[in-house]
Amino acid sequence: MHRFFLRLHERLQLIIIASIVGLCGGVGSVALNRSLAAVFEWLDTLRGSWYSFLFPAVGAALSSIFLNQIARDGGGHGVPEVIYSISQRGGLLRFRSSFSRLIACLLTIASGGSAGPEAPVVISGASIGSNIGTYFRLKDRQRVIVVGCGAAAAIASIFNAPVTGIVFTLEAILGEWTAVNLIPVAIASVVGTEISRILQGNQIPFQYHAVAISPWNLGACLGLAALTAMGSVALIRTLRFIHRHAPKMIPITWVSAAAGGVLVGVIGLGFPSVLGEGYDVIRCMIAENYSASLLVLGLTVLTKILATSLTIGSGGSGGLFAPCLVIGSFTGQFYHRALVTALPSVSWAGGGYFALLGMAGVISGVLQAPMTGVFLVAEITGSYHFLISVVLVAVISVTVSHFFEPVSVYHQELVSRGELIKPRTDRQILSHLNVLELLETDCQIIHPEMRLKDLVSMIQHSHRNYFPVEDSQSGEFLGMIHLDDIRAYLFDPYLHDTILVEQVMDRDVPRVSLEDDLAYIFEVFDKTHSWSLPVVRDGKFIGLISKATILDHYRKELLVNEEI
Amino acid sequence: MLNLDDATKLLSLPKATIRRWIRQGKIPVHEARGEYFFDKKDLEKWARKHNIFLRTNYEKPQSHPSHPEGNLLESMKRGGVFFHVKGETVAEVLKQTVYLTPLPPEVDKEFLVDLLLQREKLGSTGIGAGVAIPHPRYPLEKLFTSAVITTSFLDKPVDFKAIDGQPVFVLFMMLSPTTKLHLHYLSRLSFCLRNQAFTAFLRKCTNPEAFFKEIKQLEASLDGG
Repeated sequence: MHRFFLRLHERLQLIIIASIVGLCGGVGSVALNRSLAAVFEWLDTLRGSWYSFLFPAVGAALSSIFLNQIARDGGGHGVPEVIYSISQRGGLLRFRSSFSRLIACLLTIASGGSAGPEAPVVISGASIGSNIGTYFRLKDRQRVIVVGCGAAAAIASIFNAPVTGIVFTLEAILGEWTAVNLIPVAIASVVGTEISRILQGNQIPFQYHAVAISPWNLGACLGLAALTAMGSVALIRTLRFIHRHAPKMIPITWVSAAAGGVLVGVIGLGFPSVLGEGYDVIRCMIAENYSASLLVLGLTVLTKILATSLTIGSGGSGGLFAPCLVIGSFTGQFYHRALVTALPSVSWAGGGYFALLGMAGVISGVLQAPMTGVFLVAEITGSYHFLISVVLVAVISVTVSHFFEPVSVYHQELVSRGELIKPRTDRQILSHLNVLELLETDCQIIHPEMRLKDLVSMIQHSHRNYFPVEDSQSGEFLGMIHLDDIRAYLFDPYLHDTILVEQVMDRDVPRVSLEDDLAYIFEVFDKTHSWSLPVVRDGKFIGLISKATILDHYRKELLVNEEI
Repeated sequence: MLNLDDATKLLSLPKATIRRWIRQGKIPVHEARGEYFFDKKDLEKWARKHNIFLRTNYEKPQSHPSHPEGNLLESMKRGGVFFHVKGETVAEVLKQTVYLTPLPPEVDKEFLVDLLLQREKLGSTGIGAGVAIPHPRYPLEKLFTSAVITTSFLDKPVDFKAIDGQPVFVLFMMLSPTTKLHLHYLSRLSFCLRNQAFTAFLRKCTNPEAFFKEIKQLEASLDGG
């Protein structure tokens, strides 16, 4: 079976694996969805009691204990880990990530924590993809695509939205649009969607009844876009603030998660709609069944931002997708209410319309992924007739929020650790090459007590300009002689006998080691204007690394990276 | 089928790079019992597709010997040694030397003299101490298979506009098929001329046998180290 599989053409292999991954990812997300609904319903019976505000705390603490102590996986939303693995570890992910996140997020969300099930499903799908890829002995390049397939299937099946799955993966996870990526990802996405349709029926998540949209509404979109961008920036910054300060205030993770949970529970007493994933509220809003005052709507947006940041930032487990949609829909509703109050004579398109646009705006702004926002809203409502307004809001929201927060929420952690390496960039190639591959060992080693005459006769038979100097007894690396350093004495035969190597050698030549990465080595090259650097291990010279060789390898690396 | 070592040679890359490419799935490979094998046809197709250079015969490229073989004595014997060469000017002595030199019949002697004079116009070949090494500007690829050095002791010293202003009493005319060979003989000749005993000997030299003997000795000391 294995052998037969390995004989197939690479693209066919990928398509087959993509379908398997799509299947697993789809099942995973349906399972999470079902269990979330079940647990939420079960807890609903107890929700009226006075102690219900403690639920989120208990849930968050349990989920944190489960993740850190039992499953030994990190908290937070986890998508950055997938992106990191794709960019640096060839898509390798732990197998336990495929279920640990699901359970942790079930505990967090079902108890009322303000987070979404999408990110855990994405990680789970990605991890399933990664492990299936490893099982079929895929190489790094293909495994990365299969990880993307898992993510696509998860998103596609949870929203019943195949195109969103594809677009989200290419835009936010893989970070590049190429035909090689597109085909398997699309197949996984389609399979994932179909699985969810078979298991729970083909239902449009949010039923929206189209209304006529007058040009006035398009104009109003501009204002909404600015507002959603503000919302996105506020969410990103609050989350970052809490994420940075929570561990300092309360060092024990599960206690800090519990503390966050208590605060969320308290907020929930005043604004119950911020608890949980919040899709019910959105459903009401889009069906135009939701009414609240301008003040309540505005406060709900702010408290939802706070509750989400508290839940995820303090160590709870869950994604940002659903909270973004809730924040977006409340922002849209708020904006609509404000418009109606200010200009009652204009016929506005209704709260549902603005809620949908708000969702697209916030998703796009937070993830820095406009196409994801556009397709998500179009697909979850099953309606394309307001596409112009959605594109407008998404694009402007991305532009404005990019001005304040240039890095997507998924990339921030990696950027701050200096680990974000985008595909097909100079940094990626440099990170692949390592010093050992570039080492030149055909150097002529000289000793400090040699006379210039001996060096000159060596130069006659050498094709290099650099000569490493070693201690003749201990073999310790002492310095280098560059032809330029001695050019002045070379043509004066009187000096040949009187000058010793140790008099002309450069003792404080910068050294690099085998472990240094190329980005650093280039920094040294730039600083010293030299063409070759000695590579030293344990005080001993082991070779040279030179710009010329790097160029040669760099070019070959570029050539093999080209997709044809 | 090629193994990892063959592929490393074929691509002229370190093994570590090839291993990484295998892991990353950038190069077509077969795996059997923990070892890697490459299908030569697949590899060639892949290299063409990615525009990567494959060394076709993976022997190390024949490095051109940086020091061509051949000693001064041979080429000087080919060119001959002449005494009392007549002439008042540079052009006259060069012409005399060319006509004395045993050359293949297809060589246009006038043209050769012309080439030598062109070189003199660029700068004197009189290298000082009464010695000149006239030679054409470009190697004469078609005419010779090996270098020819003709030694002419002049009847009367001629002003060559040498670097040190001394009139030239001996010419070493060098005709070589390649630049490399020319430089090879030039460096050997200049080694000899650096020897002051040799230049003193040249002023007194009257017969070819003594001259060749002297050259043979000097070359022996050069090759001996």
